[in-house]
Amino acid sequence: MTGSLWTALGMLADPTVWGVIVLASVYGLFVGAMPGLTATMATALLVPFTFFMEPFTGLAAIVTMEAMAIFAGDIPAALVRIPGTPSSAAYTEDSYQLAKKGQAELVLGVDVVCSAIGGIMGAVALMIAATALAEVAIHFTSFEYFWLGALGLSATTMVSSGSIAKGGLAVLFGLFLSTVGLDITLGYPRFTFGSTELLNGVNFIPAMIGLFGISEVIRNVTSPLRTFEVTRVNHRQIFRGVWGVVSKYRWNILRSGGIGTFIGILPGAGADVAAWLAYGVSKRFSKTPEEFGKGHMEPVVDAGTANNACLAGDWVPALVFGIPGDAITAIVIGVLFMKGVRPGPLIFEQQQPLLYALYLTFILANVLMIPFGYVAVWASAKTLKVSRSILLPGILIFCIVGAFAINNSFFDVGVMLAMGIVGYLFEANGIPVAPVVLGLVLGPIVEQNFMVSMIKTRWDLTQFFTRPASIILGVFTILTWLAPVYPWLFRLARQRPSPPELPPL
Amino acid sequence: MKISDTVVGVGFVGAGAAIFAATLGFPRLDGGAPGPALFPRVLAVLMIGFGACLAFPAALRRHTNPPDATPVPTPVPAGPHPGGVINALLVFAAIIVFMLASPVLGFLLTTAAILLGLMWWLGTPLPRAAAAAVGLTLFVYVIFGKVLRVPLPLGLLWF
Repeated sequence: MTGSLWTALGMLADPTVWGVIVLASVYGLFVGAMPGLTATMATALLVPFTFFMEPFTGLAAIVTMEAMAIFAGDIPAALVRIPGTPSSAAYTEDSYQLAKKGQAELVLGVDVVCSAIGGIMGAVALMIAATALAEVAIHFTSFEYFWLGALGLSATTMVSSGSIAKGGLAVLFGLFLSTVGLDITLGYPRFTFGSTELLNGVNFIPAMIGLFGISEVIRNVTSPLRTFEVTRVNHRQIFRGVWGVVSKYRWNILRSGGIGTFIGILPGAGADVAAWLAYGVSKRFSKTPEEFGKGHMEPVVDAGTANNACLAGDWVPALVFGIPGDAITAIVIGVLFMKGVRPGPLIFEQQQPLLYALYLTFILANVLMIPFGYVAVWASAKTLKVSRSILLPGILIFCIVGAFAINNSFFDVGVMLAMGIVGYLFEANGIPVAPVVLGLVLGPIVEQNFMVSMIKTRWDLTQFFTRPASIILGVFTILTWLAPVYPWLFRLARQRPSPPELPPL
Repeated sequence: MKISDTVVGVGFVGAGAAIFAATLGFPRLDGGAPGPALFPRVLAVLMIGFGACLAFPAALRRHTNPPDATPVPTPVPAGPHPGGVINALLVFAAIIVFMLASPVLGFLLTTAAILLGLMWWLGTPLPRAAAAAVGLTLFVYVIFGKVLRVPLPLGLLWF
């Protein structure tokens, strides 16, 4: 272990890695601070660059970028009342009202510090939980992996924004895309329409760029390109008074860090869900719930901690099982496969230095958030004034060239265009896009493990319920399917008339 | 481009049926067990089910609502602005133009032209749009073409 740790430190000490971390931080802060652009889009656009990097360098870029972007989403939330990323939406109103009351510096300082604390809590949980789960997962067979994939897809459907039907349709569309190409049982070409480019399936990276990059460009150009009235901030004072707030809400921070990490570990739920849940729990246990939404610091602390804690949590199922925790880790899994690294319990034995270097990067990214956050607040007024009529065509060109660069193929640009149209139509009609990528990544896992299990057991379905871990995962999956019925059952139980009181004897 | 949930749901039902129909010609495994068709068929059936779940409640809601019911006000902005659809079509057109023109004109000319056109259309003054388009094109060219060594199409400009 010590040897691996030294190797990991050596990997992290590489000046190229530091250069990439600094550039990824600046990129993440910029995208996060721009209302309308999300961390998922930033990841999709970063992937073509990671294609040309060493595996660890690419992963370090994604880890740093996403941590910075999720924090930076808090800046426009406080200054212009628009969350920079969906993860900041839960406490936008409180942040903005606090800024209006003259506490913009304090709220941004609390955002930076709580994001960093949450991120470090998530990283510690990642180190502990991933290692522990990997020891269990090493005994998993195709039955357990099938159920894990099915559980991930079911949870994604249930927690996705909008209705369950729309979430399910998005998942199914992603699963259908995953069936395109040669099948694993007979090598039969499915849904390729005679195209040789589709024999290996829909190319993952152009599809991601289309779904998240092009659809966001379209969403922005179809909305009025307004300029923002930015609240003025004295960046020199952002850390003044922060210690008092952190100290006052230390138990909230601990609780929300735990909530964020737990939500992250659950497949399918991302930082936005973590923030909303932490907000709800905070309000439920607050001494002043009536102040929520009117400019109160408590929800800012809670939800701001949870969304960053969630990021490292999302990597737990991704690294241990190859099951993405959210859309960003779904892209990460694609990057790992592209780099010849197969996520799963074996990487804890075979790729220990890479893993330790990744853990250290999570800690480093969150420590760097303090100085970088300071700079981002200093630059916020200028960032929010960047002309969107210049920025959006620029993003479009990066999307096109990024999709082209993977295989130097115009066919991939066509895939990106098709997925961009799908992403735009989905978003315009309230169908979430993130479940599509989870379906695309989990489809092969579910199908391959199901077919292998079936062929192994000569089509005996009962074998899916014979191993203890398989039974537990199977029961959890089926309970997830029943989730829409639970509120109805609770209502029924509450409406049942209580038995008449008997007269005292 | 907002479409009613009924139409979206029916669209997915149709897509599910088409996927199922397309799998009818897929081969089976030795011994007659289902092979390449199994997973897509399960997806097709689920797609039909979820599509129906989306379409029918939406159709029922429309049927039971009185025709003169006042729409409920919503804090979410109501759809794209008037020029929005044209902007969206222009973005799609720009991608198609890149695919068709860059092998002939080359990356530099095509990209600069696309950027200039879109920036100007979206409201950037022409001199500023021209400067930004040229600067951004050269930036992307240096990053991808020189640093990452992606063979971007050269076309008329061969350097």
